[in-house]
Amino acid sequence: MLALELVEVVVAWLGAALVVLSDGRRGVALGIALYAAGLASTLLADPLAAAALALAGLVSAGLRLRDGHRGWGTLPPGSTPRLLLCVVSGVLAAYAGASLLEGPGPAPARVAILLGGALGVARLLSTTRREAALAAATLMTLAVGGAEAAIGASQVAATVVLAAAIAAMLLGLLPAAEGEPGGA
Amino acid sequence: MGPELALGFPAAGAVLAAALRRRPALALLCGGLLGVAGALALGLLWLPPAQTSFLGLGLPAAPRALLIFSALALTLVVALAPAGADRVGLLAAGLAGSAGLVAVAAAPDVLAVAVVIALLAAGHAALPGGRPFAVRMRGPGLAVALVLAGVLLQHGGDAPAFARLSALALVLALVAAAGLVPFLPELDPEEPAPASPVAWTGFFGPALAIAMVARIQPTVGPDGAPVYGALLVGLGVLNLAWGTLGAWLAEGDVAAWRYSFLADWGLALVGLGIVVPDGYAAAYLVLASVLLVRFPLYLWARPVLVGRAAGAMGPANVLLAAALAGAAPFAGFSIRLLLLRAATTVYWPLALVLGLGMLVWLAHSLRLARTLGAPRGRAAVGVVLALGFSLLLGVAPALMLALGGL
Repeated sequence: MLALELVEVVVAWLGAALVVLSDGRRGVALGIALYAAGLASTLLADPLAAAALALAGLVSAGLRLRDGHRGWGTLPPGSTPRLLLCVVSGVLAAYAGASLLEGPGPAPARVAILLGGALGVARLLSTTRREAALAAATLMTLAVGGAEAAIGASQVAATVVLAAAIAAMLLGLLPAAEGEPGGA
Repeated sequence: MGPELALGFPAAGAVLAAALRRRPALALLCGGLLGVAGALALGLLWLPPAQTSFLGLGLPAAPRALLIFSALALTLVVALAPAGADRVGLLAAGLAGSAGLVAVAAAPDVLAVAVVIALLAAGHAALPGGRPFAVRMRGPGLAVALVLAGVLLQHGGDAPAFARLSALALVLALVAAAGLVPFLPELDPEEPAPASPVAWTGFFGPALAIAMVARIQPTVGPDGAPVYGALLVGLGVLNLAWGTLGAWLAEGDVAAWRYSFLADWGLALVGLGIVVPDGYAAAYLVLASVLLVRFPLYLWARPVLVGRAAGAMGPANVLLAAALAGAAPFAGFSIRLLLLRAATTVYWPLALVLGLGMLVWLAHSLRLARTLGAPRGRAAVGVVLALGFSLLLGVAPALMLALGGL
């Protein structure tokens, strides 16, 4: 059981780390898909929420594949600080989620949610690439949906998880190309 | 299904206006009609039978009133936009923003607010502008992460430290979501108005802040309440000082306008932090005046700000300077009285600090009024209406407060 939980968290961490470490569309898309799969597997106690978030992640990842920089773009030159960030964030999220926090939800879910929030915002604050920013925002939206699912299985929680899943897919719909300014 | 209609009409209007962009008259007509329908649906929510919702959505009175003020501000700026402004773009962005704000106000909890902020910010950042998408997403993205951290800490355990840290994260999320100091976004003076950070802080911010406070304040608990209040007051004073000095000393007039919004927001944050009815009322009135007075005036100042017209200092500009400075009988006067009274009730030295900030405020008002030039035609009508709203907020604050259920 512990091994399975470890695998779930590692998959979520790999996904979030790929979003941080990749500049190409394939790397970013695989990162979103892996993170969504890892997060959903930690939330299997609420199967509907898990299915909604996994599906949203897969759809969003698929949509990210359609534009942006070609290829994987994983670990480009100069990405050592990003790699360090991923390792340190992983250790800190595991410590905070498993030892410091007593809730919400099971420890693997807390760790996965923390990973999505922390690595998502770190990527968002450090990139100027639109597809990377969109992927980071998707990660955070999935993490928010995961947090809502971990907090409770009420009607409100189901609505918010569904809203987060839809928001993640809508973020995937936004194109990776910047628009040209016009007007006053 | 009132809340659903209030959300659906402006959303449909935004989609239609954007789709019909190549036929501006039709786009303005369709978008305008759906926008008016959305505002009517919001207005009807005062009647209890209209408040029933299939999705279980609820719109509290204060955010609802600010949403109506947002709709009014949007009507003003689109109908009376200065020559050369992209009115269809303004309408589409404004309607999309209005739909997002209704969703924020109706959100059942703070995590739902975070989801809507992410979507709303992405939509705003995707508008064509001078700064990259990623740079424009930073503030709201940080707000989403802070909300997430705040909620996780709230459920993290029974120790008081969790409640305090949660309150800290949630207040910082509110400030980051509104784009205030210390999360001030970059400013590109050449950027089109709908995509600029001033539009975010001046149009989206007020309803967003009141809706967030309505969700955050009941959840902070007795351990988090002192941190919540003290941090809001501290950040309010910081924004007030930063805004008044910045608007006075900034090199460019666009930057001066942006800082003047911060000064208003400083008063609002202090009002929200002093958790007494007068403080909340003052904050609500400040945010209403941002929507109905300062934001429309900023848009009518755009021709001078982008160098298409010359600044001027006529009698109308002196009147505008008085309104922007918060002189009696305009909006700022009643707000300042309420806020000073609330501050004196809670901790009188705070009233001294606020009074000092309000004195420094006078320095930049003349500078801002000058950037409105000599308004003619539609802009002149708009300026008169904005002054009218300022007067209404100043002489009949009780009426405006009653609209917000205060």
